[in-house]
Amino acid sequence: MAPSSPTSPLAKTAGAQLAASKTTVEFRAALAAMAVVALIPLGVSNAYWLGVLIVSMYFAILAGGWNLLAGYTGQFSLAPATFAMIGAYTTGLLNHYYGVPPLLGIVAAVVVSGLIGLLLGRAVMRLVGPYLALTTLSFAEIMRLVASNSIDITRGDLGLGVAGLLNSRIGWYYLFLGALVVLLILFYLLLRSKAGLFLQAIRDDEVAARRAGVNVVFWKTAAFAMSAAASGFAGALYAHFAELVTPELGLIGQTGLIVSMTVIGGMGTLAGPLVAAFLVYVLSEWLRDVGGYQLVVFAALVIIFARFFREGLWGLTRTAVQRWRRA
Amino acid sequence: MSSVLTLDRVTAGYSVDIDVLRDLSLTVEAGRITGLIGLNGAGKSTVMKATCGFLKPKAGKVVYAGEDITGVEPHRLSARGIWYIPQESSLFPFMTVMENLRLPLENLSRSTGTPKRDEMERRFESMLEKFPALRAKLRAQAGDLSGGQQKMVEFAKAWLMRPRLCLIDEPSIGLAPKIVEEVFEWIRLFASEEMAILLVDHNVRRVIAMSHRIYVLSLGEITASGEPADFAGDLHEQVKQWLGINF
Amino acid sequence: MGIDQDGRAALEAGMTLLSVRGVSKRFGGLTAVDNVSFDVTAGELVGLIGPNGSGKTTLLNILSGLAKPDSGEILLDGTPCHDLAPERLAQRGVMRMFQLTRVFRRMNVVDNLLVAGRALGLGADEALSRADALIAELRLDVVRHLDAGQLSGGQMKLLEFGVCFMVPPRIALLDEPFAAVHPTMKEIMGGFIRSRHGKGQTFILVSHDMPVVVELCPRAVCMNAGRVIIDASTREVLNDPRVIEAYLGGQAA
Repeated sequence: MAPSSPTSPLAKTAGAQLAASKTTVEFRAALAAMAVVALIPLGVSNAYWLGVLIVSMYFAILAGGWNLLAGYTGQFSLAPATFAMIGAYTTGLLNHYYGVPPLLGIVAAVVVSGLIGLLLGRAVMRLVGPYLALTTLSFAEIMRLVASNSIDITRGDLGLGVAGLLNSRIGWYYLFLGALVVLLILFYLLLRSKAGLFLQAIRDDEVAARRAGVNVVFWKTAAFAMSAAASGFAGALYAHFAELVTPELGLIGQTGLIVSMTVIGGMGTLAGPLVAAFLVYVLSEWLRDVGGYQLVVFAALVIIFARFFREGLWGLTRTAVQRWRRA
Repeated sequence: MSSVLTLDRVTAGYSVDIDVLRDLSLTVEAGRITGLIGLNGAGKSTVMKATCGFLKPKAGKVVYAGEDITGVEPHRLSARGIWYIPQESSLFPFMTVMENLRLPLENLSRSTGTPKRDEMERRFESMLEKFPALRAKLRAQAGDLSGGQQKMVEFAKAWLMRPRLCLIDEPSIGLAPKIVEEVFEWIRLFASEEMAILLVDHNVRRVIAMSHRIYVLSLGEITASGEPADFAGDLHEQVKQWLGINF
Repeated sequence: MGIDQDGRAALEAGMTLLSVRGVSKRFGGLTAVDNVSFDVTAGELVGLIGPNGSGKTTLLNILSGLAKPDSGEILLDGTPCHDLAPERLAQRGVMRMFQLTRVFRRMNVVDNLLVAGRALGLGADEALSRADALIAELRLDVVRHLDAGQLSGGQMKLLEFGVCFMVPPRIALLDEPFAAVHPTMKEIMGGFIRSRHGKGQTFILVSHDMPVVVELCPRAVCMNAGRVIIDASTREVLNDPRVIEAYLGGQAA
């Protein structure tokens, strides 16, 4: 195979173009961002802002999970926050009524959210676009109202008190960061495996994927389940951080934030939603102080990015780097 | 007879390295029907698209009434007197037949200043005379009409516009034989009003019978052209030549 | 799926690989496919011709699982397969090339091929080496690292073509591979088809390019208005007056 041999001129060009695959580049960028986040507490000790960053990490997990579902298999579910809420209530209820230790509760939350996600995924399999969104939206609101109204069980909007896990905010900071990094690594391994090939194929053209023999039904359902499990995990972790579980976790506004982060960051990219989660949430907190216009700003940003910058901030960054390299 | 449309060595395609049309030249004259025949995939629809500006040619020129219109966008051409009747329906299904008919004419009037109101009314009456079946259907929703009735509205619309050049793409597809007869009557009507017509249809015999000049398109190139008399012989042999079948 | 051994043996045995029996499909008032029946023997290269609207594409959609017949059945190696989903048919060895290319635009050429390879059961290493071999054979080496969306139209077509052969299919359904394609590409695909056919690969080739059909296909089936009007040697078919009438725009007899 002469053209591919190491010494041929063609190989040099091909090799130079892509030293590592796209996914690996994205992974390294995401790790670099996580390294930056790891270093922040060295300079910032304000408990409030550390808390903001912790919540950013919570959203980063949710955005990453939603990206898997919407960015990679094109299923625009409006229920990511709902699964976080389900995860939170699973561990919360087990802990509150049966004294189940948080770590076990978190595992249970992952299993329960994943299963419900699997069922919902099967239910909406044949729906597309607006119909999928509406159905998942109904599911989301129903779940939230059930949680809100089952006052005897969940204590509704008063909130369910649950045990904490760690005592220091810094501890939580690094626990969340650790969880985020672990999920990032798992996601990267997934994308590098044949599953990753199939998910990207479904993203690009579902019919062509089927033609090539990909079991689209299975992988779309799997994406739903994995996304729900990740959201449930984040919700459960948050439950023990806040030591309180309320239906607010499942508000549609929370899903709005998640969608914004993913779109602005870059759908179907590994690093985009992760980094955008921090930017968006920190910005949203800052705007809340300044004038409360955060929703308007994010809505506008989502529209602009969805219309003009399909690959989001990640895409813009990549284009900028490519131009800079050529110059 | 003056040439209204000339394609001069046009090369066009939808992708950088795929040429659907290669070095193609043809002429359409006023008051005459020019037929374009060939297999599907030969490029007949692409000729239409390249003429109307839906596809910008990679090489060559499209000349209309002496002016170079190569690549000019479609919406500018209707004001200049070019009208395209596509294969698929171009009606707005949720608007009434009346609205579908009036819209392009009123647009034209607004953008170019003519025709004026009384001329528009005159044309409308003339259209109803030529297409009497539409009188009863004016208030109906265009999407509710049958295929044949929708085609009638398309032609009535074109008739209202009185274009100088009318491009007609596969008008008889999917229509019952009786309606097909009517469709070709309308085309003859248009030609009788001095419109230049470029007609594409898969019914080869019909096109040869109706046209003053015929071009044969095969795999993107004009492989034969002539008048109906030139196609009088054994059509089967000729088709085999066009298809490139030689045993 | 050792096509070489199986293919040659089947050809010698005259085994029926695909059997289409009385297949019909209607869309509202229009009968797109009307009681179509024909068999394809293992190792055959059959041309499927007919004017536009004759039902060729609908038939191909049915054969590849994208549409379900209203009546009739299709047997692959003797087992009914007309109600199988496209991905199951692909797993069984029915690979379909689309007329309008459908590639994974944001994945590179190699990955596009790997999707099919991995989905159809190849291990990572084997899939990669097969992909490399295909890329070389289709002369796509120079662009192997480009995203499919950045390829030229002709290169996309070659990639679309190549996807069907990552794992040698039981039958390859090619939908107008030569439509509006450069002579060079025609040669590459034509040579590829010829060489695989020589090793026993079964094909159904839909094409409007008669010289190519004459050159490649010993047998042709001609459709018009949803029906099969003749199924015979290519020479007979292209000399048949009904076929010429169909192309002249006449309805089926």
